[in-house]
Amino acid sequence: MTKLKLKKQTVKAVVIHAVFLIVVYILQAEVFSRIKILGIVPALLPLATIGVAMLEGNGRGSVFGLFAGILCDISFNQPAALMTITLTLVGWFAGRLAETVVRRGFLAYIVVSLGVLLLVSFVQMFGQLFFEHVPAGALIRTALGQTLITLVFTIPMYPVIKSMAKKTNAA
Amino acid sequence: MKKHFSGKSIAAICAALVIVIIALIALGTGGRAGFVTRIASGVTKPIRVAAASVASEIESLYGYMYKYDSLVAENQRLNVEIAELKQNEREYNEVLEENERFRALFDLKSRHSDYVFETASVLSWTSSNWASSFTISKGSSNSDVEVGDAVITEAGMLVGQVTEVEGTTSKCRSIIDTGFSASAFTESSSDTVVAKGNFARMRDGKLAIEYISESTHMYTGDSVMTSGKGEVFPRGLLIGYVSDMDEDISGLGMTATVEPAADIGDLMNVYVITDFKVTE
Repeated sequence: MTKLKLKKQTVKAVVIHAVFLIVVYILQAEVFSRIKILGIVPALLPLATIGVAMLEGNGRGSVFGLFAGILCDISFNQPAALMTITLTLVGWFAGRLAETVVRRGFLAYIVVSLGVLLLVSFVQMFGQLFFEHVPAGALIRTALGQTLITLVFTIPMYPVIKSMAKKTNAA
Repeated sequence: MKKHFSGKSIAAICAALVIVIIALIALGTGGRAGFVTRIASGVTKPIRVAAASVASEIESLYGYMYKYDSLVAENQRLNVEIAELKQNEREYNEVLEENERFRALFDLKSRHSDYVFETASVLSWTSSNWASSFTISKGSSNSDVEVGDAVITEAGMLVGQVTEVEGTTSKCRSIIDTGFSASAFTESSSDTVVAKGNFARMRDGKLAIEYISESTHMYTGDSVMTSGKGEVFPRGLLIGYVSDMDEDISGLGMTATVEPAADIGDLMNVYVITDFKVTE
């Protein structure tokens, strides 16, 4: 493979991932923040990060996670740090997990997503649980609601990420 | 005599008589069609109907062929006119709504001449399930908005507080966010209470007043307003109405659920109070 071809492929991969990231961001920040599902906004950016990491490796996963995290912090109206760090690490670990422990597939995607979404919920509720003394029951109910409703979106998300991975020659 | 009336002449005279008689019969009908006319009409009716039908078809075909382009053009022109009218109607409705908002704001300004406002529009809402905040279109470079300023509707209902000021935008927490708290009083009591965001009630779009003592008179339906204490918010901004009262979990008093007066989820334009006269 020539250098030029490699460069073209990298540019193509970056463009495809950027478009995908923006679409997911718009869905999470603009569409579902207004049209909530049972009062919950699904956390689509973490879900997209897990998918990219599992199907395209931990390198791309962590880079995708970094940008997804920045956008996530913006959409949550919070300082760009908490989700930026969390999703970068999620991208790296989910990628490593798919390369070493679990087989790449839809079932593995759901299982890893379940674990990561619970972790993301815990990160989000941490401040309120330990510093603002908000009752744990209400926080856990919200965490479970967010996790379960977001998990439903693995069904449309997985084929999209799989096809994107094929197009960028990473699958 | 025979010389004057030959056979041809007699035949001509007879024919003329017949025509005259027929003409007389046909004319002597007193305004109604005579039998000759009726017969002629009856005989020719099917022909006329058929001819009219054919003519009509030819005419419509002619119209279709030669007026098609003009009809298409007219249709397009009418469609454009309809679109323009719809656009005008939309603009009219928007102006009407804006007018209503300005009327309410004018009313608020006339009641509180000490308020200094900044008009802003709500740009976006947080997509977090753990907070309730929004971003407005005014920041440090295009307004005097500062952290802590009250955010209200045109009718003077408190909807939030500025928490972060950037260049051209500011972040505001809504009154149902867990980080929100304001010194308040209700119409049934002069006692000061604290209206604050409550996580369990946030998803229902409500806030709470906790630790209400037995001596405080508070009833369902009471309006809750800012007290002005602490100089954070001006006195008298309507927060909402008491919708429910329960015994506090700690057993230290009662907790009231407050339904915001403004439709928090439907905010489009807000007003930031950047300055006001302190009256406690």
